[in-house]
Amino acid sequence: MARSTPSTGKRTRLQRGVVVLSVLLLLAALVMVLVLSHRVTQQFEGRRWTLPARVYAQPIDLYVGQPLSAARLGEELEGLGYLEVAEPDRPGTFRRRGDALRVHVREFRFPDERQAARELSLRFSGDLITELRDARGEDVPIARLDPLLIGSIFPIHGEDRLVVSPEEVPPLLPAALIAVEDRKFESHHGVNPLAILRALFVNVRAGQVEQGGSTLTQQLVKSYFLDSRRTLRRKAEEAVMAVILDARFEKADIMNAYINEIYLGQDGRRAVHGFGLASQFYFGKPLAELDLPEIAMLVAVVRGPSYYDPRRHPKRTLERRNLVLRLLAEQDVVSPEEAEQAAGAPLGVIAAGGRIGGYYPAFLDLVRRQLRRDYEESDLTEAGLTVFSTLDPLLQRAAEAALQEELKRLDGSARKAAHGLEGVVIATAPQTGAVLALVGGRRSGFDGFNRALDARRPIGSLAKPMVYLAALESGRFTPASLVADEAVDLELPNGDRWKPENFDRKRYGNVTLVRGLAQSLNLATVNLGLDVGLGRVAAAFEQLGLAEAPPKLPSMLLGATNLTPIEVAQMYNTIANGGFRAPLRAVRAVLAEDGQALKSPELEVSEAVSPEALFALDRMMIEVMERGTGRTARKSLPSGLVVAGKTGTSNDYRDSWFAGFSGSHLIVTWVGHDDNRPTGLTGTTGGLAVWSRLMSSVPTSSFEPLQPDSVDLRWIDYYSGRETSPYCNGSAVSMAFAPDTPLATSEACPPGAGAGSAGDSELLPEESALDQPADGPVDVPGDAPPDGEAAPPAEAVIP
Amino acid sequence: MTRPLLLLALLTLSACSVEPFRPDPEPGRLPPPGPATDGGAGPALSTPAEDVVVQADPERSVEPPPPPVLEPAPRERPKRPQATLSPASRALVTQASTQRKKGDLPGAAVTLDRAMRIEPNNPLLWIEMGRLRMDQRNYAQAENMGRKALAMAVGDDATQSQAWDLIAQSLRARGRNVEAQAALEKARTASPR
Repeated sequence: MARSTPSTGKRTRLQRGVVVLSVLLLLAALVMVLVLSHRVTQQFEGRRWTLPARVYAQPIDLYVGQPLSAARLGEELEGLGYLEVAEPDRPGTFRRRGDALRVHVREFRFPDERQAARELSLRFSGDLITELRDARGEDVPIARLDPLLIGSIFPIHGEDRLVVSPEEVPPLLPAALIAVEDRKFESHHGVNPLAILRALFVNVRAGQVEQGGSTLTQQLVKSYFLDSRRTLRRKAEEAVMAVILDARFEKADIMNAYINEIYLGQDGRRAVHGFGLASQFYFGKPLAELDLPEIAMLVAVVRGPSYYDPRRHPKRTLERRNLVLRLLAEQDVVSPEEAEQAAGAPLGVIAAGGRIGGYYPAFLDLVRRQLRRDYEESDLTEAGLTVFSTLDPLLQRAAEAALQEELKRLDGSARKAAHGLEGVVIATAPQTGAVLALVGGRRSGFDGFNRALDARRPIGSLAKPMVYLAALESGRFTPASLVADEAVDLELPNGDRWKPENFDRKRYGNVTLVRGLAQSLNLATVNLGLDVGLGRVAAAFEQLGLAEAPPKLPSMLLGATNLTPIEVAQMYNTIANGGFRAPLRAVRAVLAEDGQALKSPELEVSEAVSPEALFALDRMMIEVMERGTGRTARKSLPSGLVVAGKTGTSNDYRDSWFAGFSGSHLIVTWVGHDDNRPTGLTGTTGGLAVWSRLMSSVPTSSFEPLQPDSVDLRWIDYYSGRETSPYCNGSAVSMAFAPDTPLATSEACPPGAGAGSAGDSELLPEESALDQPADGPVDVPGDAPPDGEAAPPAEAVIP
Repeated sequence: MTRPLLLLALLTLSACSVEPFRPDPEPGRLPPPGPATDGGAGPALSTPAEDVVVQADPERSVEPPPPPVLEPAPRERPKRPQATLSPASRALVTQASTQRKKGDLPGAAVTLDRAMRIEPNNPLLWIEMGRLRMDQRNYAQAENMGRKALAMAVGDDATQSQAWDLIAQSLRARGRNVEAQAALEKARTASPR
């Protein structure tokens, strides 16, 4: 026994060591479990109680006289996931026969009323709706389609999924997921060891991974942490977390989380998570409307969204979908007949890109920022709000296309500096300030730097209308007033000398205000601005809607002020809206989850500028498009369409802007490099090209500013400012004046002179011959830019 | 440079030295619109030609001293037909009134907003929106809607009268009775008897 004492002691020490170690290990394990538990619970709770605000586009209104063709409406319906059928007898279907269209509109809760599902029949004549009736054949004055869902405000992954509530999930989907992915879902405790063993066996025998043994819960956990490492440790952690989730939450909640979380495909850079978005991505319609073969396909895709990509590998995906259908029949989820019939259906996947409900992160960003004025972030991401936005999907798509095509064209030009440019497009409805489209970069689906809202760039000659407006408002100038387009040499407060030049380095002597603006003459504008006073010009920026007046420096007159495109849009919207400021808004209404209307930005207007001065400015800005720096747009615009606007080029051609409007659209465009390199483009060759491509591709109306009672329109000579007759020659312009404004009379061609033997018809060809040297084709790369603003890069215009 | 200048001078001369008289456009107003098919073509487009060369003319502004000022033309305001609502907006205005009566002011605002999307330049809709703002006790905006309607209803006395009436109400609601009285007076004078 005595011998055993030391060994006993040794063993005791060993035992003690083992016990201590075990306790430590146990503690460590416990800590790990607690940590994992905390992590997974936080994730799950965070998602489970999250019902992000859903954002809808503006719905399409249907009424007699609406400019919409049957073909276009058909496209829009397909975009909304409506199915073309022989007999539109259920919501979400339509039938088109030439100029007749019948549609069964879906039920939808609009902010002003709940619209019941109903059948409508329409007739068209060309591009107009000429008849709108209900199922009983009675005339309907106005109806609307359910709006396009454009995204949700989701806190974690950006705005990239359409969360569905359990009521919106067809019961077949969870049943199919259980049957295919996890038969014991209802009974296991988060993991299913038997399934793992079976999968192991199958896979070893097949020599490849054929079956997964993960439960839905494990897959959910894996998706939460998006870690693709397939280490044993990861697997163990996932298993522990699955067990924890299962212990703490209801199966139904786990299933719902799974349906909203799981990865189902890739749309360019955008990961498609959740069945709600996947349904839009693959079929272009809401999850609730999917039929058996479609649901079976989504369940098939779960197993490997890139391996079973129905667009790239349709055959493989079809085979797996039919396997899913067989499994469903075997497990009595559906009848064998149903499964067999479904197996005969094509995949029915829509073309990529078009119909994902639209993904407009730049616009959603604006929606979110505007809502943040009235709502907490958590209200937006959790409270299940419904947001009705002002987005016009047709215009948005056209804006994206216009920008991409023009930038691509410039990529291909010989002008190296113009390769790889970025751009912005903002479109509004001037009267109400509704933002209809907003593109924040050439990759419009990219949720990154939002140039439309955040890029601060010098506005160049976009500042000039403010100078002329201040001059007109002062009462000391009229459009016919002469101002000296002569050398400017100023000593700045810091001792520097400022000597701006005209774009073509010429001096034009005394020019009319209308000409100074139309041709964007720098010297005339600076002399005018200095005469009017920098304070008045700065005030004009504020009147038009800029939150803070720019610093009162002379260089402000030529647009050295840095502004964001949305700020420019706000100011020009006031010009386009007859001097009434309407705060730009991206949201029309917000509803609580229970349908209660909540606070949202309201339509507001305020008279910001004297209507007389603004009307005079409007007429001058029309001349920018007719005979000034904007006239190259004429080549692409419909011939009868009246538009007004202004080009802008910043110093050294770093920024190419255009801001212009028709009667129903204000469009602001910017083109430039993110790193502020020169682009070699004037406002004409960059911004205006995008602008006119867009303006000519959308239905719009002429800009017809209403003449205030207290203003007279009179014909003056564009060059001399003298009153003249519209019939004399090509230089008569119709401008606005206060009543009884004294005007010098043109001697050569006084008012009242008629058209003569050398009338219009003979005049035209000669003048177009004259026109040649001034207006070189803008599209020729390397060409000197046409009449524009800003000095050549050699010498800076703006200090 | 000389050739275009010469041409220009010739053209100007030939164009202006001629006698046959065409009726002058109404003084202070736009010239007669183009053919009916040319819908929406504004005044700027009906000027005879595109443009003359910009660079060719700096000397042009140096002309003999200005001739005597012309007699101002009599200022006759053309009338415009009274604004009416399209059937679609009329239906929406009716719906909005129902909503207002039921006290659903946010709903009415959304309905009118929708009508404005269809006819943004119809002053009657802006007057309706102003009346709704009165219900919402947003008197300043009620007045602004009235002023917007006024600007849109130039030449349409009946509609301007309604707008003035709205403005008068919004002023009275803010206790600005003298201004309200003046606005009411304008409503009365504008109103066609």
